[in-house]
Amino acid sequence: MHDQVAVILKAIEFIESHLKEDISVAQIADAAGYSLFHFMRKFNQVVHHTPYDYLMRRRLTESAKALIRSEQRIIDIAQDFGFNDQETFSRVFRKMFQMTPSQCRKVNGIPFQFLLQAKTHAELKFINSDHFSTPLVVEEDDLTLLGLMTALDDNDKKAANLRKQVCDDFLSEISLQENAQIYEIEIRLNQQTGKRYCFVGAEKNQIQQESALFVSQTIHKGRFVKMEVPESELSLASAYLHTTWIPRVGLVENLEMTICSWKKEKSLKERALTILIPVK
Amino acid sequence: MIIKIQFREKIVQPKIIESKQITLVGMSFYGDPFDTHAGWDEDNQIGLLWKRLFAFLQKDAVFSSLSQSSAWYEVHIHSEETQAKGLFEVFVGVTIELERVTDLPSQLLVKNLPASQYAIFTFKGEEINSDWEKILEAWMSESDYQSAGTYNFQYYDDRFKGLDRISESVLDVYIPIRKKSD
Repeated sequence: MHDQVAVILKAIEFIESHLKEDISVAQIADAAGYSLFHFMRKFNQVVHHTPYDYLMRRRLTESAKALIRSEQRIIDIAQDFGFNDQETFSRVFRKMFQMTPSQCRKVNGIPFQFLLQAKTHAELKFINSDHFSTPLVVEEDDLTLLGLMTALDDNDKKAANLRKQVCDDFLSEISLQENAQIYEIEIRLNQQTGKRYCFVGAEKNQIQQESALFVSQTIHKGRFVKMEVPESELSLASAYLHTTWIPRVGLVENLEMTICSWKKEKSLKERALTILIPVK
Repeated sequence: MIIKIQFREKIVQPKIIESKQITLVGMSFYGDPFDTHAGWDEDNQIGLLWKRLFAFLQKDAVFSSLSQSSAWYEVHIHSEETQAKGLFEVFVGVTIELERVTDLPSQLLVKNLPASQYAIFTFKGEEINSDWEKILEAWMSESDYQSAGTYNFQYYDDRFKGLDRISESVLDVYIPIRKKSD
């Protein structure tokens, strides 16, 4: 498998250096040194995208970045990335991001996790490792939690610090039963403004005290994509779920929240995380 | 470069034959055969297509005898979108007498492969899972022949023991050819 990852990375590099050119899947196969048919089989096996789907999603991701960063006309950006007319561009853009290019420009962006970044060696190694477990689609009931909440900064680095802070506060201030399940939820209040909040909490009966600081948060019943990963692979797994697995199986995220949960344990071993993403 | 060395070491030389028109009955799929929209360990579209065909033939009152056939064809047909987007037509089926074609139910399709010269490559065991199209392409570019059609087909008979017994299996691949000078 390692050799295959290396060959496919060559194809991915070729795609990266030709995003603005009219290249064919056959040319990408050539760059990897495989026949077209064999390449398509291997690319799917290793990347979990068809080569053409991957090429389109990379082009759309880079065009979304250009929409936000530059003041170029939409039609010019579309043409830069090989889309001949604005109508086609808008349609496929919306299919990938659930908003049109002009909405994307107006609200100044698309949540980072929906951008398909070029696949890296680490991500391909992760999805092709022996311990990789395929995500599941599950139905969950209403779950009401108590915990602490904070607004997150737009800046991702600051947001990460705030997330850690609220998590530390919750765990140090609250006496929880051993083995209690802890939930960290990132909530998007409004798709348009992109304002984000972070909640950390547990089920009410697991918490042995009351506090005026507590807020209640409900995870509404519905369908979720569920994946279990060691903490060190959280970011690889998130990127994979948001940009590869969920679109590939034809599901659409409901964009409200992303949930990450784990068991409170004394042991020092790496935490095993469960990612839950509500989908339609 | 590596391909050429393998090619020379193995001295893969196809058999050249003349074939009459082949009339097949079966089912087809168009798209990227590996775009499954499902779990990763499930069948790809070609596997699903075979299953669909077998399931239908076994149940059909008139054509169930075809499911007992000992030779099966998997035809890959290229279109304008093949090179650009990786989209193929894949047809799987079995030969049928021309006079029976008019009685076919709506679920089944007919595919005529014209009379042609073919190069037949025979692959054994793990070679079946290898990139044998690369070997076909390499042979074609060095031989006196050129492609005579935008398709090729795999021929499965009793020498093919199944994907779970690939090491004991044999597969023939046919490509339509004509002399470069023609």
